[in-house]
Amino acid sequence: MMEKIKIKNTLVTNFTAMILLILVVGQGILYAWLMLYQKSYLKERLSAEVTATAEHIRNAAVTMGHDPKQLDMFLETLVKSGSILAVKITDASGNVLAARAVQYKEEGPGLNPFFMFFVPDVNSMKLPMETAKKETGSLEVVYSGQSVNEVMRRFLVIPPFMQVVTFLIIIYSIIKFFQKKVGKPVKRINAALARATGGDLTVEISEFKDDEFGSIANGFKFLIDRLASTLNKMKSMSENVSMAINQLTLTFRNVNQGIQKQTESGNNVMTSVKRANDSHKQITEDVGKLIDFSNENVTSLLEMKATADEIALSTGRLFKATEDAYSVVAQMSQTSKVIAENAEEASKAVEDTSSSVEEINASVKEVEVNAKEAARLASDTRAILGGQCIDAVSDAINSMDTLMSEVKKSSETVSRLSGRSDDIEKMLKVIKDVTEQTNLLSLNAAILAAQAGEYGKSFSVVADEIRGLSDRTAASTKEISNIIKTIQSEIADAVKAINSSMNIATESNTLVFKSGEDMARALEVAQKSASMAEAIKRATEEQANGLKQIVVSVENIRKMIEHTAQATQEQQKGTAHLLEGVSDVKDAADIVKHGAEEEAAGIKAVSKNLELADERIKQIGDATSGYQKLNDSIAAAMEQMRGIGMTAVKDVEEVSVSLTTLFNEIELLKKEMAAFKVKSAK
Amino acid sequence: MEKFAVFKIGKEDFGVHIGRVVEILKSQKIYSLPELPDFISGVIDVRGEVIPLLDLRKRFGAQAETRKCRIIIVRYEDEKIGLLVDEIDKIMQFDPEEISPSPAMFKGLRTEYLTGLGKKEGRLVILLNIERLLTSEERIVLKESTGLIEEEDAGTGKSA
Repeated sequence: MMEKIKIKNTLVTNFTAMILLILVVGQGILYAWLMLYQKSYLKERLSAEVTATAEHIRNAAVTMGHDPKQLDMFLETLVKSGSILAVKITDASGNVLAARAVQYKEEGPGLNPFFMFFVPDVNSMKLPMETAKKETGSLEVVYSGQSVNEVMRRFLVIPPFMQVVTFLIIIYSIIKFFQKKVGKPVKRINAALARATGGDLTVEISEFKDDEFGSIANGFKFLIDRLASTLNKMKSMSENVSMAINQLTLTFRNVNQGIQKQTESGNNVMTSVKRANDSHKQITEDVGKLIDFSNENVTSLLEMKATADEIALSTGRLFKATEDAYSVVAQMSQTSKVIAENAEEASKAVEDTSSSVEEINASVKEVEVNAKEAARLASDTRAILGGQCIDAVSDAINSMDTLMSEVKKSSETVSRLSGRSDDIEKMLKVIKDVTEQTNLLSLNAAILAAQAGEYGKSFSVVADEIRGLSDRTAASTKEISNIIKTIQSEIADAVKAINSSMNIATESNTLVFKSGEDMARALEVAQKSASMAEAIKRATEEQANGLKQIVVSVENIRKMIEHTAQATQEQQKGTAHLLEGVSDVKDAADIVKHGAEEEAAGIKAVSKNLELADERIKQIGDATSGYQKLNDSIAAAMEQMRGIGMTAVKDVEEVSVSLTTLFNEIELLKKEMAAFKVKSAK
Repeated sequence: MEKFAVFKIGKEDFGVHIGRVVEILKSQKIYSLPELPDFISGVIDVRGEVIPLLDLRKRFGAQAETRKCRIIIVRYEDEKIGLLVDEIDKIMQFDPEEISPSPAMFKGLRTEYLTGLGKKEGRLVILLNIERLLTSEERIVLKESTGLIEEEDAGTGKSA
């Protein structure tokens, strides 16, 4: 920045001061010398006058010595009339003959700065009195220097005042002349330079004559125009760059949002998978319970089988007893006692049978309850598999699709971003060219300034400013270029991260599909096991029916036996009647045997079905645990994916920060350039 | 106190007195004409003025770098002549005691080219004597050829 030239440094002021100094010192010395001369002249004249007066007094004293009154009067008039302050006449022996004086002040020791131009206020003179060559006394005269001092005082005041007025007039005319011829153009050039160095390049210099100032003004104008056009170019360039950076920042924000959405989708998938996992755990629990129940079924069945065996044995015994009875009845005529005994035995056996059948009935009821529970559990399992699980898996698949599309979108955005930064590189190249041009301009300006010599000094300040500006621009451009390179490498990183997250997303997608398939298979198995359980239930119900029949038959047998007992008691009624009764018994026993066999077959079928169901349930358990493993691996993959998403977000944020730095850099550059006020581009 | 425009050819610093310099230009299109002598590498058009170009890099045996180049326009007698150099550095001031007379031979350059060696800020600047850059023979050839160029220029002007 150029400072305004102080008035005390201007050429005009210096010149005027010099002339003033010479005039004042020369005139002062001359005038002082003149005054000294005049003082000595006046002093001599005064003392000559006083001497003449004293001479006169002496003569008067001699002539009027005899008349003191007359002498006194003479002295009085003398003292009153002029510069004589006191007169004293003494005789030879020192007695005062006559004395007269006016009031006057003895001069004090005060210092007068112009003492050399004044005589003392009080002076004295002593003259001897002679009468006929004989000293008779002395005359003392005191006189005042006031009259001389009055003249000197006037000379010290009036002429110097006139002199000062004359000087002022001369100085005023010199200053006017210089201001008109030199000061004005210099001032105008200075003002223009001050504005230019202050950054205002719209300054105009014109109306100069074809002299030295005119040539300086033309050179200045040429330089200012070149600088202004360069600055305009640079300004538009930096605005472009800042626009591009704004766009870049916007694009980055989009990328960031995309990645955040991606992370959200990932989280959705994870919660879905977790839900599927929870459903699976419940299934596993239910299947475990089912297995427990089927185990219980098997033990019940075994118990039932044992009971059935017992029944069979009892039935066999019954049959044999009946046959025995038959043979005994055939020999009935032998003894009725034996018959009664046998009948009693038969009754006892039937009671045994009845109790056994009741036992079986209880077991079968238990089996029935268990089978019903199994059927309910199997249908529950089917419902769970068919409903919740399939929903969760399809949720997961949907989330996966969203995720994939998000990842694709962010990948596209990042590619666009990469293209943008290439554009910026192109712009930077243009800025570099402009900077070189500016540097050249500053060199030319420096050369012009150097050739202009003293006049070009201010110019060279402008040239240095331009050079500094171009250097700073070059440094900034280099820095920006580095930042762009960093951004590009970071973008490449982001692209890599996004690609790998895309791969993982694809992998997860296939995993989810596979888990869906497995789920469908599990559903199939569950359906099969449910139908099995249904079959078991049905078989058990059939068994229960069979047992009811058995109970009826046994009741019949008991009745028959009672009947037999009655018949035995009514032995006398006839053997034929008895025989008939016994054959009835035999028929009933046949029915019992048949029922027992049927029951055994039913139990066998139940057992087989239960084993099959058990096997199926175990298969369901295996499938479920496999599915759970799959779910766990999906969850792990999702976690990994989320980690990669986070890395991508961090990368993008870093790029964002770099962009902000770049933007600030450009803003700074712009601000620096804004310091130069430039005419709008031509 | 003398001011010199300092430029680089290869690794060496050269100086030319600032009073001589007219202008500094960046690389321009160089027209080569068949009539030009060998030591002139072409002519350039500076705002309508045709100026012959002397490749100082070739003259001082440095390898011509096409990567970057600048042109200094200097006054040579009554003419202007362009000097082709690698790079312009800055304007340097040398006090008389900073300029030493050139030795008989310096870095393979004939000292008739030189006015002296400037030493400042740890740098050694070879100060060129523009008047002696061309031999008297070359000077005559240059005058003839520039006359030729001007005629040609005038001719094309008329035809256009």
